[in-house]
Amino acid sequence: MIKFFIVLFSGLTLLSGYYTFNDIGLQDTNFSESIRSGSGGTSGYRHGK
Amino acid sequence: MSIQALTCPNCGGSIDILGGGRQVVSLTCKYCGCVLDAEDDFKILAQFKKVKIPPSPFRIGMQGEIKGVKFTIIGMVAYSCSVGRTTGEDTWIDFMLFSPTHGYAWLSYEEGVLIFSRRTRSIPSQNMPRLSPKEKLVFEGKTYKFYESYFAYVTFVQGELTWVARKNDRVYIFEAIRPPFGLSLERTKNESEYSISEYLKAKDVYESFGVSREVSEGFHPLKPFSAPLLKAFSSVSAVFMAISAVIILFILIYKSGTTVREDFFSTRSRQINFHIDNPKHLVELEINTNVNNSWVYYDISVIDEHNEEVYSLGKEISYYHGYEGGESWSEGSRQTSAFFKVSKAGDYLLLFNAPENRHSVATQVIIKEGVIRPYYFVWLLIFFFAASTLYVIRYASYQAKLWKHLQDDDDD
Repeated sequence: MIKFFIVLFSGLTLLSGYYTFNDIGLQDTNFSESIRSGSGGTSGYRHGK
Repeated sequence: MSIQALTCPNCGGSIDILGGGRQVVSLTCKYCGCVLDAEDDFKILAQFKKVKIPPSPFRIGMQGEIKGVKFTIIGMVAYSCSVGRTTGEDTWIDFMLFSPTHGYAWLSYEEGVLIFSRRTRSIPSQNMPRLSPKEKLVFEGKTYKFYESYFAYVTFVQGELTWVARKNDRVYIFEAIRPPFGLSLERTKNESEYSISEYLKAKDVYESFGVSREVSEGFHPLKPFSAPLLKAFSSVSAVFMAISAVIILFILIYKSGTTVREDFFSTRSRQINFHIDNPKHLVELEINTNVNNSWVYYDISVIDEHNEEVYSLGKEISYYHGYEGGESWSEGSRQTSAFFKVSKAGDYLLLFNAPENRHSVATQVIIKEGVIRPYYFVWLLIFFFAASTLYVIRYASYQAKLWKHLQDDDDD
């Protein structure tokens, strides 16, 4: 049973390493034009402060 | 072992004699419950009237092997406990075992749990009745913990016994545990006897005695804590938790990036030139401001050498704090970061624009290249930490259950 968990967790660690060192999913999303040009982007109540 | 026949002087029913050795002093008629004196012409000593046989998968006459010794069940005594005992069921059965070569022993059956016991002539160094729960007791080089004491009453007797048992005979029992072993003192008006007990794997005993019915085991203080799957899971998790922590530290120390440009401005818009040599990993944009109970919203664009926008982002930075209802509060942060990638090395232009801001905000921008984020390993670390604690939590839960009677006593 220990061997099974070692293999499983090694797989998880390698997968994490692959995702980490290839920066997969770690970029901030490119901001879309429609949101950027509108009045959004900040929470509305903040504008009143 | 041969079985002889005898007739009950009370009801005329046949009584099987299992030949349970010279020390047998009483026999019980299974039809009328009369206890007969084996040493005095089978005179009637007592009678268990209208008492039903307590349910169990064993019966008198069964033979099986325990710890490599072949035993025959020659008698049984059922007990019911009263004051003091707080674990297990209220009743249990002690089966008297006999081996021509190894003498007498007991097989206790309670909630599907089987305990094997033998009398011992050794006496522990401490006086058991004076011990408190959890107090240590050394016996034959092994350390036990005193567990509990209680009164037990005889409710049923059958077969051959090495003493005369009468209904409602009272025994004061003191127990110490060292799972799977136990030490008990049984004290009656006339004598005190010590016994060494051991929890048995029920399946092995059932197979040996030819019991086909599977009985699920309940909780018993001598049943050792066992969770091999969870133990393996938690142990391996602990190792991988350490590995994840080392990887995170390595990334934070050696892979947190190199600063390629640092800039400071207080205007509503700004253009910052920077050069990237290492496009393989992330570029980090760190933004620090002096917002104070206010906010700033930046439109951010990254333009490459061909004047094309390769990345764009909107970032709000807000920080509010105050004192309300006797407590300080704050929300938001003066600092934020953005991570992006560029496809190739070269010169880039960073455009900052705060179109909605009425006032200028002092802003510091730090650009780093070759940044690796340990995001996935942080989640892995959290997962392995949680997994590694499961076994400890389960063991703590077992200990709490084992010593629950102390809590109950305190509550009373």
